[in-house]
Amino acid sequence: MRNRIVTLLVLVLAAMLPLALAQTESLDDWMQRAEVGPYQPEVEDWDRIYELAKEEGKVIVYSATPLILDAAAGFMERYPGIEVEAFDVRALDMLEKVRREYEAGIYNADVINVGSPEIIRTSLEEIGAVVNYVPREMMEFIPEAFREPYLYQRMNAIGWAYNPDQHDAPPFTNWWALTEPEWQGRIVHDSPSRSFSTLQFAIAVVQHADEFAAAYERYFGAPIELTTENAGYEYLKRLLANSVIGSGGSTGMAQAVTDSTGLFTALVVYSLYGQTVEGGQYRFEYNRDMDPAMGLAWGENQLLVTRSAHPNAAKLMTRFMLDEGYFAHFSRNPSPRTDVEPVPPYEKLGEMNWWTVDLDFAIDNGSEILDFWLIYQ
Amino acid sequence: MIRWFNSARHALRTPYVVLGAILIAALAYLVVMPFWEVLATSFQAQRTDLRRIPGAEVGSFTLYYWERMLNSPLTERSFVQPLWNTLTISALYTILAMAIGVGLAWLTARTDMAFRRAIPDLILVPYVIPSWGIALAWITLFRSDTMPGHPAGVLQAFTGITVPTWVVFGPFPIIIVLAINYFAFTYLLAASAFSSIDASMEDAGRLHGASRWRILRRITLPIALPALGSAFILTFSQGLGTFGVPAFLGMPDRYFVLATSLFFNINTNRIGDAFVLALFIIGLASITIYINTLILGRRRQFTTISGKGVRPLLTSLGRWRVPMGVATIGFLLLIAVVPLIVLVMQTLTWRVGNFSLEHFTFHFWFGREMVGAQFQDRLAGIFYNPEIMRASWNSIRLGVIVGLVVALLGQLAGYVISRGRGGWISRILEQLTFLPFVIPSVVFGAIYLTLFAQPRGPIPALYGTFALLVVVSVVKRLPFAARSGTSSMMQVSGELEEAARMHRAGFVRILTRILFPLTRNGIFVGFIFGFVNTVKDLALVILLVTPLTNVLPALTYSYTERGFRQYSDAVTVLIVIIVLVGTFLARRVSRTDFSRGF
Repeated sequence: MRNRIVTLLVLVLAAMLPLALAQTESLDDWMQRAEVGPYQPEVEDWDRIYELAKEEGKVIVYSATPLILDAAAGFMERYPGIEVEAFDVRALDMLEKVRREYEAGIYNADVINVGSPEIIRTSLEEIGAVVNYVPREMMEFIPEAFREPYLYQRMNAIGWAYNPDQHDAPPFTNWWALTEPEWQGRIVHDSPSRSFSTLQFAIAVVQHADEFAAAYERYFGAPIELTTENAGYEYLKRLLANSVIGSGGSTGMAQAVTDSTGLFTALVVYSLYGQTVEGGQYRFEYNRDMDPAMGLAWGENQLLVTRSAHPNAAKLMTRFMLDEGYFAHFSRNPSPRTDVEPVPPYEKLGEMNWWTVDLDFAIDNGSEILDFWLIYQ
Repeated sequence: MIRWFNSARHALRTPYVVLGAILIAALAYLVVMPFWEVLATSFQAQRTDLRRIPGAEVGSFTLYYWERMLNSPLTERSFVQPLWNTLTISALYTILAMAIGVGLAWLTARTDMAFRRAIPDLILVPYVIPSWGIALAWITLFRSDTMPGHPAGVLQAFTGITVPTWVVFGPFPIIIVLAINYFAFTYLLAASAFSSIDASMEDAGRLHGASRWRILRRITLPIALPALGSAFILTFSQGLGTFGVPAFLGMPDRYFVLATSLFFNINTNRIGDAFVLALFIIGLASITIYINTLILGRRRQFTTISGKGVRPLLTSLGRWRVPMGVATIGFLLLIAVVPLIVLVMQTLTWRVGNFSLEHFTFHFWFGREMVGAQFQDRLAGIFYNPEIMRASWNSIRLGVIVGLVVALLGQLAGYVISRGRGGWISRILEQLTFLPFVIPSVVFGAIYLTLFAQPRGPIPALYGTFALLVVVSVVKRLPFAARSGTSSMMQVSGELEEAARMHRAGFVRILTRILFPLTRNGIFVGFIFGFVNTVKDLALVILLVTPLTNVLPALTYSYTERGFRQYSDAVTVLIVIIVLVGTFLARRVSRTDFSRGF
């Protein structure tokens, strides 16, 4: 009896030993082997990368859009011999899971495709979990702001949308209108504790507090009296007193506007705007003359996860998603490339009145803004 | 010295001592240490908060999180309200579940109601539907397009009737759905209380001319009261950590309970805040369990079989005998079948909220992937969807493995507890195996998330592995399995083992040839209980799964979050099918009547 238990224990411990002793490759060694970061060559040999990727045999992508499943199918067709496992996960969940996997020493994902730069900075880059990778040949087409510190694979935005079947003209032109009693319960948005784009949006509101103060005066004809730190916070507070938290994520918001009757607006991401064309699933429109702005534009980043097992396949995937893969599967979102014209109904984001992300402001203030939201929601 | 050495040697040769020591060590590592870890972590600065805690380094001591939760502008919305909501919801659903459960127990055990013998089997039927599945069905049934941002539900589509928003989201539906989920639990506890009452006391009352009502009020209820009180407390304690139902029904109304507040804190990487909440949930649950032991006194189990063979005189329902029976059966079928019908209906509609025939489709079940199509219908139907197939396989695998492991572990723990009765090993092990009952699932998940995120000594990091799901599920299911193991091992006399030992049989041989065969029934009950609850459990695994180790309940949650309602409903139905098939197969294989095993 005793002997058996002792033998069993010894066996179990012996089985665990290699796991505990296994030495992981240093980050620098990995980058050198993968030829990324400081080791990215001036000219990249894509035939060789494809050969190496075929040896790796596989690439695992975590993305915050179901379009990634199309892209995966397209990639496998274009590059036989490389299997793609693509997962469509919500942004906040994904970043949390990648960080924990990484800290646990489990390097599942090879590439992530997600638009959350400040979380990428504070929770992934600081522990060395990601490296920004831009294929050399793409450099000239992508402005620096769209490839540093993190590459944008495609652009996106979020703003107030209304149903054009219900309103001949936009139902409001100044954001402060939404704080009026008639909008009570007729505004839907997600919560920043589960939706990254909503958090970005809230951060942008606070960042542009001065514009909100000015817009307030234009709307009400008198200067704003603050009960909070600034007019941005003040706006969020009054908005939250009037709005409803919707469900179903970004598609849920678009569907809500589509199904709405009467006075109604929701925060909808621009990437769904392509489906408002004839025969599309959604029916919504943005007001291009919104005061103080249409909303916030940002981009969906594409980054390599370090120490992953398939870095070459990941590079190939990244190039594919900026080029052929983008045209085939992501053209519903504007491209960061200067040489690519947006497909209608999309327009050039830069020519519309969107705010843009200020990474440093977001990092310094994101947490307080989330706190504020939690208090007033 | 020599005496001590001899007794130690003797102890080492006693199987239950060795086995008990191993189990205690394992549980100390898996249950007690995590608890201390949570406590310690709640006082340590986290990497992500260094910007906001002046002068802190990772891991340095801080009261920051406790202050945030207990004394800051956040306190009201993140702690006080969720705490108050948790307590109100738990109290109210428990009262409702008790009313239904105790009523049914009384009707079946103490009256001549028609069809009453079918109740114990039928009552387990709603149990196969996960509580959050009922919540999803509730939304699908009652929502209406008069609520901004929502499509029509089944009720509105077919009858035009619309209900106010508070019926669909917020505390009211949470209470109803939890009561539907838990009344079987109160029924089982109450039924055993009623059947334990010595009927001769009621007879005595009747001889003295007391009315039926008076007997019920003055004799039956007071005798059953401690057991009923205990049922109340145990049901109440289950509500403290409940996650799925308030997540689906509370969020749209901005109605938070401690468990959902904790979840969103973890999700936004606020571990410190989350752990303070976790400690409060554990504290509350511990207090209720302590009250429970006070109520029950030193009695640790209900006496279900009394020495006397007096059959209780059944209260006659008169002309209500048959109508009551029909109504009861109807009620049970209703709550089991209606949610499933509603869920299935939604999976057959092309557009959410449009139930007209031209929108009828089998796409969400058997459809092929449609590359380039719109967002939600571009995914393949659940039988061709690799993500769902992977999660199904994971769920089944997890259920079976956990069921088997927990059933055997339960028997082993039961063996130690019953053979060492009165000794400290037995007592410690009994307490340790019970401890996971006090720690709600979502808290367990949160703890294991951080505990196993990094390598610890010889144990490699388990985050992202299937093994982690197995470990956490086994530990969480252990309290029931150990109870059931103890009661079945109690029934096996030690003489059998002694006889076998005389014939030089080793302990393993005794286990596999004598003990396990004799306690077969208990093992199968442990398996089925472990299997069913593991396959259904959302809260335990929601924080621990990764895309590669995803299981069906977590997949439902993410589909709901992303607005893919047909998929989330179809996956819920799939879970019910897996539970039913699994239970059926297990019963066929074992020929066990498990409705009596509870």
